[in-house]
Amino acid sequence: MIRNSLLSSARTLFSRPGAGIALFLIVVSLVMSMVSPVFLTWMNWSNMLNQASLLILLAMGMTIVLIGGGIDLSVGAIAALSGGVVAFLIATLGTPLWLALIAGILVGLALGLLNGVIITVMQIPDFVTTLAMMALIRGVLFVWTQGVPMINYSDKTYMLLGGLTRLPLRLTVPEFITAAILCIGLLIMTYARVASHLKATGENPDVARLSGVNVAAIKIGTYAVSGLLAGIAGVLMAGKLGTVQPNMASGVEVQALAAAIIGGAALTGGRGSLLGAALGAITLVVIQNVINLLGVPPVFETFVIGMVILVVIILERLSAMASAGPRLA
Amino acid sequence: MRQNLARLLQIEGVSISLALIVVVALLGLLNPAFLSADNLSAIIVQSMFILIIAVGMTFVLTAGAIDLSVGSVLGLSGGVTMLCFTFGLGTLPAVLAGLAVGALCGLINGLLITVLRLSDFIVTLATMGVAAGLLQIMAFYRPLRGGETEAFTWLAYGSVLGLSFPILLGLVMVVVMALVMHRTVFGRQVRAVGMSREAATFAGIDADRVRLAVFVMSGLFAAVAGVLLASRLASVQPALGRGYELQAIAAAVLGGTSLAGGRGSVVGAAVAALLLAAISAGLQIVGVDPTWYQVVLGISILLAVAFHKWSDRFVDRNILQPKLEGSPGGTSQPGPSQPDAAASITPTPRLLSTE
Repeated sequence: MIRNSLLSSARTLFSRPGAGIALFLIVVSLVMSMVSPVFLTWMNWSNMLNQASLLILLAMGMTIVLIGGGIDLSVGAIAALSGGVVAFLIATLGTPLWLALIAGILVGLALGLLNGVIITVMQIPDFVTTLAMMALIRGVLFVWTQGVPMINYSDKTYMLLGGLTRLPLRLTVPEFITAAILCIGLLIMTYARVASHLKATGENPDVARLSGVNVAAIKIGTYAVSGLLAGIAGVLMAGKLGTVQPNMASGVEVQALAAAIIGGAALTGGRGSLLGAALGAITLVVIQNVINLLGVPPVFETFVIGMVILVVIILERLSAMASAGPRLA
Repeated sequence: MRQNLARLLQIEGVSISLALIVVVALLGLLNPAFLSADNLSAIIVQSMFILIIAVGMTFVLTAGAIDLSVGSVLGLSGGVTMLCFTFGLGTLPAVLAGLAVGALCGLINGLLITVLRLSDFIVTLATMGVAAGLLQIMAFYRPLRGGETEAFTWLAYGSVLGLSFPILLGLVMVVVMALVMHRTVFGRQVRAVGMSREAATFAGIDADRVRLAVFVMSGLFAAVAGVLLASRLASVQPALGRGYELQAIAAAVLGGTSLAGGRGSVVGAAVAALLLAAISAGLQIVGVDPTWYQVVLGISILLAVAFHKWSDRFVDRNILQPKLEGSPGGTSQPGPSQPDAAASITPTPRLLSTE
C-alpha cells in the first residue's frame, strides 16, 4: 500500500512537465558543486544562461510545432539566413540597425510561413518539407556569401543586444528578451483559446476539424511562430558572434528538438511544455558545461547529446509502460 | 493518350530515368566533355556511396519508417575499418568489423523502435548523434589513416572484367534488392507493413520482425558504403558521412518511394542517386558554383514529392475503375499524412500490376 502510494505520488510528480528535469538539474548541480568549485558560481551560471537564451527561443518554437503535430528541421538554417540578412543590410547597404533587425526577423517569419504553406497546401509531410527547406535555405546562404563569413556590421548597440556586452550582474539583453517571450508564450498557452485549438490539432486533426478548428491555419501558425523565433534567435546570434559564417547555427535544430523532447514534448503531437523546453535547453547547456569542467575533450559533446536524447526517450517510454501496466492487468 | 501516359507513369523508375536522360543530354550539349567515358565512369563511381545507402533507405521507407542515422553509421563503419588497419589487422577482419558495426547500429535502432515502440524518427536522430560522436571521439584519439592493405584499396579502385568494382557491387546490389523487393515474400511483407501495419499483422505478418530486418539492412548497407568510401579516400575524417542521410532520402523519394510507406522502387532510387551525382558534377562542369547543389537538392526533394502526389492522383483517375474514383480522400480530407494513408489503401490494382 505504502509502496503503491509512494509510486503513484512519484508518478504524479514526474508526470508534471519539467519536474524530472528540474530534479536532474538539482542533482547534477549538487554533484558538480562537489567536483568542481567553479560550477556553482554566478560567473559560470551567468555564462550558461547567456548560452541557453538563444537555444530556449528555438526550443520554444520547436515545442509549438511539435504540439501541433509537426516538426521543424529548418530552424538552424532560418536563424543563419536571418542573421545573414542583418549583416548584409548593415555592412553593405548601411541600413540602420533597427530596420535591419526587423528585416532579419521578418525573413525568419516569412520562411516559417512558407514552410507552413507548403505543408498544408501541397500536403507534403512536415519533416520532408522542413528538411528540404533546411538544405535549400542553407544553400542560398552559401551561394549568396560564397562561403565567406560576413563581417564589419557590428557596433556597440548590436553587441549589447546580442549579449556580447554584459549588463550589471553579468546579465545580458537576450536573457531578458527570451524571458519576456517565454512569459508571453506561457500566458498564451495557459489562457488563450488558440492553445487548446493547437493541442487539439496535434492530438487528432480530424476531430479538431470536425470540432470547428481551422487546422490549416493552426498548422501554418505553428511554423510561422517557429520561423519568427528562429529569426529572432538568428539576429541576436549575429550580434553575439560579430560575424555570420554560412554554417552558423548548423545542427542547432537537433539541439532544439532534444530540448523540446527532454521538456516533455511528444513527437506524436498534442503534448509539450514551453517551460519544459526552456529547462530542457538549460539542461543541454549544463551538460556541455559539465563536459567542459570535467576536462573531457569537446569531441565527446555530440556523443553525449545523442546518448542523452536516447536515455530520455527510453526512460519516458519505460515510465509510460510502467504506469500503463497495472491498469491493463 | 491520358491512359497511356498513366500506364507509363506506373512503370517503376520511368519518370526518374527520363529526368536523368534529359539532364545528361543537357549537360552534354553544354559541355561535350561531360559525356566522355572517363567523366561518366567517375560520376558513376562517385554516386555509388549514396546509391548503396539509398537502396537500404528505400526498404526502410517502404516499410513506413525512416532512418536518419545512415550517414553517421556510414562514417562510423568506415572509421572502425580504418581503425582496425591502424592496429595492423588484415583486410578481412577489418572489413568485417566495419560491416558488423553497421549491422549492430541497425539492430539497436530496430530493437529500440520495435521493442520499446519508440518513434523511428527520434531514435535514429539520436543514434545519428551517437554514431557521429563515436567517430569524432575515435578520430580525436587516433588519426584514421595508414596501414590499409592492397586488397582493401582494390575495393574502391580495382576492376572485374573491365568494370570498376564499386560499380559492379552497386549494380549487383540494385539487381538483387530490386528482386527481393518485388519477387520475394519478404519484399511483399515490407510493402504490406508499410501500407498498413495493422492489416499486415491481421494477415499473419510479424510486422515487428519485418521492421527490425529493414533497419538491420539499412545499417549494413550504410556500412558497405562506409567501408567502400574509406577505401576510396584512404583516410576517414571525423565528419565523414554527415548529410548523406539527406541525399539518400532524396534519392529514394526522387526514385518513386513513398514516404508514407507501402511503395518503394530500388531501381528508381539507384537512378536518382545517379541523377544527383550527375547534377552535382554537372554544376561544376558547366561552370555553375557547386554551392548551388544544396539549393538544387532541396528544391528537387520538394518537387519530387509534389510530382508523385500529382502522378498518383493522375494514375488513379485514369486507370482505376470509376467505382473507386473519389471514394478515398474525397469524403475526408484530414491532416497532411492522412491522404497518403487513404491513397495507399485503394491502389491495389497498381500493386498487382507491378508484380
